[in-house]
Amino acid sequence: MTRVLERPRTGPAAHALVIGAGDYPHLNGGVGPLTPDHEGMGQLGSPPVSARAICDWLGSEFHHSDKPLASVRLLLSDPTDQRYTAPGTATTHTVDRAEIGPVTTAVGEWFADGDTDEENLLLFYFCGHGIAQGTEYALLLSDFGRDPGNSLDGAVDFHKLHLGMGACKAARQCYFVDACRSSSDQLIATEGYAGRVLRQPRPRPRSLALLEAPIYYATLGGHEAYARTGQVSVFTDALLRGLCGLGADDAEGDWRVDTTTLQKALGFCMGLAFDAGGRRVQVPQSGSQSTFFLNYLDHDPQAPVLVGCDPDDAIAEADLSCTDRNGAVISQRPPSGLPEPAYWRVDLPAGRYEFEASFPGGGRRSRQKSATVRPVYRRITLEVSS
Amino acid sequence: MSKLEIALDTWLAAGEVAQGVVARVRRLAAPDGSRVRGERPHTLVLPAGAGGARSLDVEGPGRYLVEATLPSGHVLSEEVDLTPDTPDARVELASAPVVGHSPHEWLSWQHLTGKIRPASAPRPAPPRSPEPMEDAGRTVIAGAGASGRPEPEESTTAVSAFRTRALTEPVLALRGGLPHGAEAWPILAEAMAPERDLASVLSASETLPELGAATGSVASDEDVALYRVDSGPGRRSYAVVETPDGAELATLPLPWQQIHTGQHCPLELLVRKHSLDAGFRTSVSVLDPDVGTALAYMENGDFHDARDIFEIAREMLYYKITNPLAAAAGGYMLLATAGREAKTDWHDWIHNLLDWFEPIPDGAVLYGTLLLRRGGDDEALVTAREAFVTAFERGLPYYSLGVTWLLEGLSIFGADDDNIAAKARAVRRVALAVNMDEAFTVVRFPARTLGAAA
Repeated sequence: MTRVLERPRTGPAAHALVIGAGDYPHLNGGVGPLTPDHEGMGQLGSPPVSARAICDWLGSEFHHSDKPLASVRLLLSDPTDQRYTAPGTATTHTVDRAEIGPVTTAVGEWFADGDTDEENLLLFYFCGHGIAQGTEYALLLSDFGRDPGNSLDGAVDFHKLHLGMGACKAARQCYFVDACRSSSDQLIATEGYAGRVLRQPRPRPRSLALLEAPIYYATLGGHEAYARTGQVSVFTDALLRGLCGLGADDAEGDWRVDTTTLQKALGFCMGLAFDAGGRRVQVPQSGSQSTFFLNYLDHDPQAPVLVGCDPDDAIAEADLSCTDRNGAVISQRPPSGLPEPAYWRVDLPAGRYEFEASFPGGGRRSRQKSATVRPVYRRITLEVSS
Repeated sequence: MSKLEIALDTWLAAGEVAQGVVARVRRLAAPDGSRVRGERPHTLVLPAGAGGARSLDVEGPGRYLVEATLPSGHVLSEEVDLTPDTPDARVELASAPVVGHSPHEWLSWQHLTGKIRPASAPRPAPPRSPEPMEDAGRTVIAGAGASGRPEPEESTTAVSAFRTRALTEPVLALRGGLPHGAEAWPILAEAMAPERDLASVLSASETLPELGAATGSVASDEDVALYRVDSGPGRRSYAVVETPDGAELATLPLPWQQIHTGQHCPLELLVRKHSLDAGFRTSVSVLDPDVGTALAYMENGDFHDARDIFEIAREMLYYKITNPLAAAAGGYMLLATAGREAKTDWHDWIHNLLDWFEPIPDGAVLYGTLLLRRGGDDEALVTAREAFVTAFERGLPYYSLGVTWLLEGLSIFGADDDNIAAKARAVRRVALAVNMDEAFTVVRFPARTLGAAA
């Protein structure tokens, strides 16, 4: 079973394929024989959690006025639990493992669903190991290394999948790949064989609308993606924040997340996550970047505000506060005594606020500033004088 | 009608860049304070580097938000209230509080474009067990700031880790003959083969000029070395950068002319001394006041802002094609961001790029991709197939995106054509060694015996 959510629709709809591969029997720490192609890779705790979180969001918060959600397929490799219950449903599904066989079948079904209408929206999400070299990118499924003579038989050639999906009628497709893009000599040795080709690349049929299929990678090529064990990964967390509102704009009157503003939201979240103590900044990168709507919000989005002082070091002594238009204190931060971080972060619903730095210890004059908060984020600098 | 004058407080050693940073201005509230919704923001491009400003007519009194996104991805923002009594205002966006200061004057362009971190940011850890670096005995020419004075702290530091030189034609160096175009593919692939002795390849470049001494200033610190290339020989040029990891072949987009004046723009070649994960060290930038930052936006994955800058020079860039390399970059951005509602008036000049500029493979890549994406009849697909074959025969694309799209096109048509499938395999072998995070094509050759090349 891979279809964990099904809402029959007539007309254009959204169809999602979600894959979370965390259990790798043939990598370090796995229960099976270690493949000679392990390259130091091991078990991952985050992908099943991240994939479930994406499915939860799809089932409960995804809203598209023209393309309502019609189906979600989920494949998981979780060493302890293959079950999933979609939000708002009472049915618990035991989902298929994220192995090449079930994934091949799921991709075929997902293609077929997308192929029913040119206005369909297809969403693809993968979280797990990935290896890359130049243009080639292999997404490693749980049975990577099962055949020690052909480890990549348990992998998907992502580049060719993306190309092959160009033959699908669905003209708008969006790909989210939360995996390392670490350089691998395997892909040099195999001369570009980067796993199974699940859809043969072919020219897009002439009768179909222009294909728009941006890709969002968790990292630049050659770099590793990072996750917190057993928690939603850094990229998926950023993605969910972006889809929930950080990537929203109201240029159409209501708040909508589109593919371009989502990218800016991802960039902000990832940068902030790593400034806050991560090991290295990951920079999300899209390939093609046409703009189309991904999610419609039914509420004002929240947006982060980074409040700092000029000079920077004044933030250590500053009593920082945020009040709404009625003068009610929304949030407050007492003096920290520390110069780092150089900003106070507060997440607020979009709107107009007053920010103030006061100095209980004296020595500096208080400073207030009004600012409108909206996605992606605002940075407020309070110029305080001695 | 009200007017906003918007200035960006950044500093560049090279002086002002006329089209520097993309900004958006949106009206947040009407004069009575009521929220404004459903208005598209104004987009404008601010000059960068010398405090210059640009004016914008806006709807009238109200509250406005001005946001500028630097090529590095950092966002600068300010709000301003316009009233009937003060209908005009000046807004200054300061970059230093957000992105810090450039570590050196000579790195100011690299800092603005996000290729290096600010002075206060932590540096990446040096590589584990670094290989001993050979001293090639180069004396560095001092970098000069805006005042023209050299910077004393680095000016006498020798660039000890790199041997960097210009090659007029990599295939010449590889074979000693004059193969070009399609012959580049097997030769580049051969140079990557484990048994190939790269020393013999590089020794062919002995008589060619060193970039630093021959073509411009060079500066260096403990993290990076910067080479300036003022001009090329007028045909395809590359730089070979040797490092302890191997060697990198960097495409030099020369000649690069300003689209309005025809003046040659210098290039900056940044070489990192500490390898990051991917091991690539070389990066090429163009100090072009019209489209230089557009290339940086492109490199950082912000194709929409890149396109907005290219679009300012639409007439000169696309129809007169005063700089075909810049036009190709603009073409990549137009194609990458094209939606179904996009204008199509630029489709014809993509074909001109293919027809008029044979030495540039990217024109054929763009035309083939355009035909593939927009669809058409069987004849269009035949033409697309021919365009990709033409691109292959013209050799290594100037842009890494061109390598990707060439491989895509050949892969699609290779499904039922063995001849094209063989071409796809040849491109794939090279593409495996291309740094896809750079705008211009950089190919890496693994470390082998390099000693004989000095």
